[in-house]
Amino acid sequence: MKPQENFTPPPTEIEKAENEIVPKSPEVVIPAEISNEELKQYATVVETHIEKQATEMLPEAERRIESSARSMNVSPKTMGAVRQEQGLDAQLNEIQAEASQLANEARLDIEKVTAHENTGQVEHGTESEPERVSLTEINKLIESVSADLYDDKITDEQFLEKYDKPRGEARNDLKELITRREKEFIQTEFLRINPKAEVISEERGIYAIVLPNGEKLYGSIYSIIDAHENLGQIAPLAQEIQSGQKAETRSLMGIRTREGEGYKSIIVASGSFAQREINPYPADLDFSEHLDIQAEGKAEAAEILASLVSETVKQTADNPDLEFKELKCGIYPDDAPEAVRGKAIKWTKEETVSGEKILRDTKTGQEYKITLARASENPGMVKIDWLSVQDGDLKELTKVINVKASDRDGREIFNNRQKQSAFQEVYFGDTTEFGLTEMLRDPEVLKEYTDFLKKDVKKYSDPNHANYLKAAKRSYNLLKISGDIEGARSLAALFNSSTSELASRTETLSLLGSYLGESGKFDLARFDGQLDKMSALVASDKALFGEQEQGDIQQKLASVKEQLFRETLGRAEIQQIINELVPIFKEKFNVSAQKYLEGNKAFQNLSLE
Amino acid sequence: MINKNAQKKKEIEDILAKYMAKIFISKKKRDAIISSFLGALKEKRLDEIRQSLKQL
Repeated sequence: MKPQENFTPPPTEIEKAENEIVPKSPEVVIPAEISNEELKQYATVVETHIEKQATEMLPEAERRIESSARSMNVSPKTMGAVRQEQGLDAQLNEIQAEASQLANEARLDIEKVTAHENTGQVEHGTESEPERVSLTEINKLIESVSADLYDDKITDEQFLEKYDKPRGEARNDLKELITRREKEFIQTEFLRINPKAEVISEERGIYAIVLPNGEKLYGSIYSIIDAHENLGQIAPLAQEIQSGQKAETRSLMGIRTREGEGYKSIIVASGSFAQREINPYPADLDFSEHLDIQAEGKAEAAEILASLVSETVKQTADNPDLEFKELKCGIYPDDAPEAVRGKAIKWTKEETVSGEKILRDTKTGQEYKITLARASENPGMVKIDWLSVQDGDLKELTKVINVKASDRDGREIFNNRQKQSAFQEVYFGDTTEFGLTEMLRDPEVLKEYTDFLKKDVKKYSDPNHANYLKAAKRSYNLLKISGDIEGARSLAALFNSSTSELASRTETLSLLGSYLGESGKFDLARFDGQLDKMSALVASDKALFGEQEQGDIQQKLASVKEQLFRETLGRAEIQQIINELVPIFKEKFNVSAQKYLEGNKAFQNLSLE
Repeated sequence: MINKNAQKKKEIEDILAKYMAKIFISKKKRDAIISSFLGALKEKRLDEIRQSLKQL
């Protein structure tokens, strides 16, 4: 075999033609026959060469600038001022990101070529020829082995007999297969369709999109593929509702891991709210917070959780765009009144702030008192709901707290974390220390998520629970995680349509209707624009609304709008008009989504078994 | 039977050529940014020198 130094990249015909613009590659000696090992070495040298060119982009620029500045005798102060004035750092970062992305793409292209290098050696007959496995085959394999792996009815012996390997080994094989599907079918698509895409760590499954100012949004491949740079705009809001200290800056950079006495936290965008790339009309704003607590024991951990929740609610009370609705935290314990025992505990603002809830047992007439700290010992799902005014629309804003409490030796005290949530979370910073993306390669987590999606698609496609837009959203995620990005994107056209906009606007209208029944802090005139937008949508969509219908609906919307200012009608009457409109809209978008799904091949071919 | 690795090597050569061309374009863009910045820096420095001369 030729030594490695002989495998430096050769000038090609294309390079010769492009000699004027492309720097020359190092010289090479071309061997007559090429073994797998030699090909591999050659690929590594080429990869390293391209990567070196890319990583040198920024340092080389800095060296040249520094050298010129020195010869001009420029002071650091002047240098800094001109840098800022010219936006030099942002521009250079953009170029560096572009080059890093090119290096990534090159590496992937090379990997594609070398992935099956053994097939080149068939004439020697000494190495086996691996089959190129299709996505369908990979999916079938993952699905069938996972089903048996986590089937309690199949004993370890039976499993061993069927697969010729123990469960633990099969689990590792599956993990590898899931990672392979992620890289070959989803990552490749992500890099192809999104010019801002970047691979942060293949090993840990962390990806990013680069924003125009050089900042990044991070996520697993499943979430980042749907993230859009406009998520960066919600940075101030995200900081406002994160546990811990008040927001420091209004940029994305301000969102970071917050650390305090015994805890650290990160805030992330989640659910379809985090899928702005494919869904520009999310009905609400969903956030998740990952909270790691370290304490002596359960009581101390619960104290920390309770105080963080209470602080967050206090902290947001003065925000003119936020209004607290409800906190869910804890499960009524065995000493609670029988009627509520085992149910989730709901807290009002006053109860959350005081840290105490009192209720009367209707059966015995006795008073029952529970503190937020005690409830936090068995937190269940912790969720804070606010109402929020965003661009003149009334929206629900939710923060789910995924909390993991451990003692100083790392032993878990309690953990309410939904591992599968990372499939739909977009991070505002590098979340490596929370290890969220790696979990998604766990076959059990993937199976749980797949089962949940399939169940929901069945449920929402059933005429008794018909919600076809929801069925479409779940189907989209199902297709995406199984690597069928093309099929998924064919469904996504529905989310970027007037049907989806109508669904989102109906949600906000319905919310406004409910709000009229409460004595909230928002001035009703703020929702003027919300009604205008609904009215414009109705007027513009002739496919969804007939001419006569358009006129009737617009008249009703105009009357709601007028009454919001004058309030000559009582609030109940305005509510009545909204309540009449909402079911009409719901019927419209549901029928429209159903029709869309009937004509969508990817949805029709979806296997839900 | 032909040795397919030779073909694969050729494909990698093509990838190298393609990405080197793209990186070259990025470098050109970077150089333009540097030139424009150094131009502005030079102007600023000249201004500073002119100001100092005036004060003299």
